[in-house]
Amino acid sequence: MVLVVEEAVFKMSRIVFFRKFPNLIHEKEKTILEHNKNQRFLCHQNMKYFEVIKNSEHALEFISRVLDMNKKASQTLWENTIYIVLAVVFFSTVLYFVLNNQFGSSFYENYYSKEISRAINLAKPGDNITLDVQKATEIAQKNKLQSFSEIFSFDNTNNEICVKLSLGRKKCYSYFNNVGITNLQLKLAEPINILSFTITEKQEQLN
Amino acid sequence: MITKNKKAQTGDMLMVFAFIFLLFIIGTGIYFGTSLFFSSNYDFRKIDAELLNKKLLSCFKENNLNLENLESLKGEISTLCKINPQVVKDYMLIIIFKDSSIEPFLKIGKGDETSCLLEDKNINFPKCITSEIVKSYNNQKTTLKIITGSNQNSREKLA
Repeated sequence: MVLVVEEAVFKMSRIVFFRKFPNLIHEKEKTILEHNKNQRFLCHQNMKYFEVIKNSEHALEFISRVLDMNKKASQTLWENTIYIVLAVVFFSTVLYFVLNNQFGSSFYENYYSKEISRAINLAKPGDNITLDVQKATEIAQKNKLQSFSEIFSFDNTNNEICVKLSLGRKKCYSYFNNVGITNLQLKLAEPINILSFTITEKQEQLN
Repeated sequence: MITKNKKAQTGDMLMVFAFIFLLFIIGTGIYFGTSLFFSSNYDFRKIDAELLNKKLLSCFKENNLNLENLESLKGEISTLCKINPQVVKDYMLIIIFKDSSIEPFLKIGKGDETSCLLEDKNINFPKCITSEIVKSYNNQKTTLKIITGSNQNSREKLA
């Protein structure tokens, strides 16, 4: 329907144009006749329209009315676009927030990073620490993490423990005890999943 | 006719504020609902401050740290007490007062005693622990007031 109206408006606009500048249509028709048969056909079609409504007093009024309708439609489209963009932005944010908290991954990332840092802060070089990480592995599995080895990572340079339980992000926490972490192992099904690591003297001294 | 139409258009445009308000209400509801359900807040700052305080106290008890030289004391806190100075500077706080002095003898990290005292008033202030220890140096008893604080929260990183 819209296409038909647009086509009509387009043709009528041309007719109005031709009415105003009859010399141009003459020139144009000449050129078209010389160069292209198909174009010639179209030109004749337009001429037919021109003949049909050239005497009509309502032609201009009709065109202006249709054009005005078109303007209103464009405005409505613009308003709707704003609403849709706002809604998309909002619901994407909500979805991101809810997915982040799905299965409590955000909370457990916080929990494990802080509790592991507490264990490290209380430890002395030579200690072996073994922790139950069953819940963490369950959440990581639900969040389709590719490998369990990604869950816990230690940065000995910055004294930082990072826990990753969902795709694309991890939570990190620093421990003040100036020790190194080695021999990090995630043992599965013994009978539960456990994380073990050894506390060692730190190799380099920070300023 | 045209003026009326314009008024109607203005009214129509103003509806966007109602829409934003609606989104705000929905968003706030979802945020608080999710936060309450998963209770993501796990404040560990007080425990951190307590652990640091205990570590410092035991270090002062076990070692004869040099209280005469400030730079030397900072170095000894790093080497003998095995406390990472960078972590303390970035996220924690150590303030040591000697005897009944008002001015702190040693201060490492962000914040001060006042922010510690106001920890209940503002959630962004560090959570602190205060303790005292009496040490003998050159046959003289010195009272050390140790204030430790933590303002560390877990940091989210892309992985």
